[in-house]
Amino acid sequence: MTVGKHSLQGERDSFDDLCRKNYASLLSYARLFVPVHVAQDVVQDVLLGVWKKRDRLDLDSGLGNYMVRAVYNRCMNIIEREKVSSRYVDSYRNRITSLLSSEYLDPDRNPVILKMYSNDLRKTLDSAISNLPDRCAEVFRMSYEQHLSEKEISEKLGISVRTVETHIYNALKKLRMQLASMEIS
Amino acid sequence: MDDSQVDIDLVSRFVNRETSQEEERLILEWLERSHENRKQFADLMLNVSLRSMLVDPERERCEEEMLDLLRLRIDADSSVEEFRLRRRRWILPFVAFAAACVALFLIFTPFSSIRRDNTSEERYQFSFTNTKQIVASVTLGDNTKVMLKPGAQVEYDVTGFGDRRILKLVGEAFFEVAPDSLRPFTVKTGNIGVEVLGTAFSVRACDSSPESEVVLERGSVRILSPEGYPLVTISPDQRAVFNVADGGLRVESINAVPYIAENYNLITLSNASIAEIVASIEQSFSVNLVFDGNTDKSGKYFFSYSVTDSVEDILSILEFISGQRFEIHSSTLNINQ
Repeated sequence: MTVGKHSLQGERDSFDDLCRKNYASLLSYARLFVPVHVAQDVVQDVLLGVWKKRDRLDLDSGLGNYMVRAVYNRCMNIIEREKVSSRYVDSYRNRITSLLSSEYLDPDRNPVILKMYSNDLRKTLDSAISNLPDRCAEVFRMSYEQHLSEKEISEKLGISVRTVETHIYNALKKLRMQLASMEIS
Repeated sequence: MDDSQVDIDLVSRFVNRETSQEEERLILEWLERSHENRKQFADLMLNVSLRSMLVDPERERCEEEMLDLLRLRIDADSSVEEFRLRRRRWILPFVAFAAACVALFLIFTPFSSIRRDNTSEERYQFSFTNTKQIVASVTLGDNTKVMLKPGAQVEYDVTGFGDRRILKLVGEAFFEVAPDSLRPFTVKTGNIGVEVLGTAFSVRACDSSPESEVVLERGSVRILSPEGYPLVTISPDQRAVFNVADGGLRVESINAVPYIAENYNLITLSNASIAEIVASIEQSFSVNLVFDGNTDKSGKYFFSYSVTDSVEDILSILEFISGQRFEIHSSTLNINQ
């Protein structure tokens, strides 16, 4: 196998980490161009491509920009090929996608894209959660990070299920508002 | 729609593919008006998509599933690499199939624990043959879609597949496999096996030809020898051709989408009435459609669709252009024993 900076397991761990940090944001970018199930394949193919080229890329350097551009290129290829296939339907959606994709959704022509999408999504979410009131944040983390059920949370913290539900509901509401007003940078 | 501002809720629904055709028409019109509008809409799309992904409770679970699938693909890729290195030493004796058979067996032994194929135990409960003149579509219990060319036949176990999904194929078919990282999906033909790690590909394996072909559109598949040993893993836009007569395997680049579109995607109707279009859809999907026959019958339309699309999607387009509503009355499959 290849001899690199890391052991084979270290490489795999770096790569796993890279995937977790980027999967969601790459997917939310890809789905602006193609349906979700195709977007999933695109992101997988890009990540697999990174793995295959790992000798030439530095897995620790983040690679965010590179992957956003790779996703864009793949999506554009798929769209272009669809257009010439006889199954293409000239729907409004397809025309909208066409209109926006070559300039406004291009990472090299719209500077906002690389800033927003080549970042660790977890960091953004984490800092938004830490702005919630303590109890609320605690309940929310138990639900979304530890995957505990509402009953389990209520038992652990000694509060009613209704209270747990309210905390989660409020957390989501606050997070949405915060993220809406936050500059994702 | 207001000239200067667009509603965030509308953008959100557009990103989630929940907008109606009328709304999309209005959006398109608005976008065509100015560069500013397009910039605003695109920036909102970018914002909305990222944020909804951030607070989506389903996200973590879907992400883990997808990452598992990715890991499977990487594992498959690296095991083939190892296999290839060892294989080179004995490929010549294999082709000559002489006294080297014993040596072969010994070299293969380390891999026998990986391959769990037990062909004598397999039974296929369900069989479907496409006796029509056009491509027929079958959806399996796990939501995998199989499009069979005329004359093609598949056999599979319809009661849930157990812990592996195995399907036997004679002829030509295009597969869109539903992802399930716990249960790999395998297509077996007389000559090769195709183990699916990803999603959309076509297989051609006819009794009359020594060559079998796999074309991959999306995802990742591993080609197996008849005994179930991995030969190669191919990537999107690749075609693998295996010749059982000489054991030769070649992989080449191909533009998969038009190739598959040409082979499996046929229906274009010109100057057709609604009744003719309906008849065509009914035939392609083995469904019965009900619609209000009282309205204007004289309209002629250009209508084109793919058998890889869902009937619902096709009907919604037909409803849009004709102004009539259609309902699927029943679904019938042509089952051959």
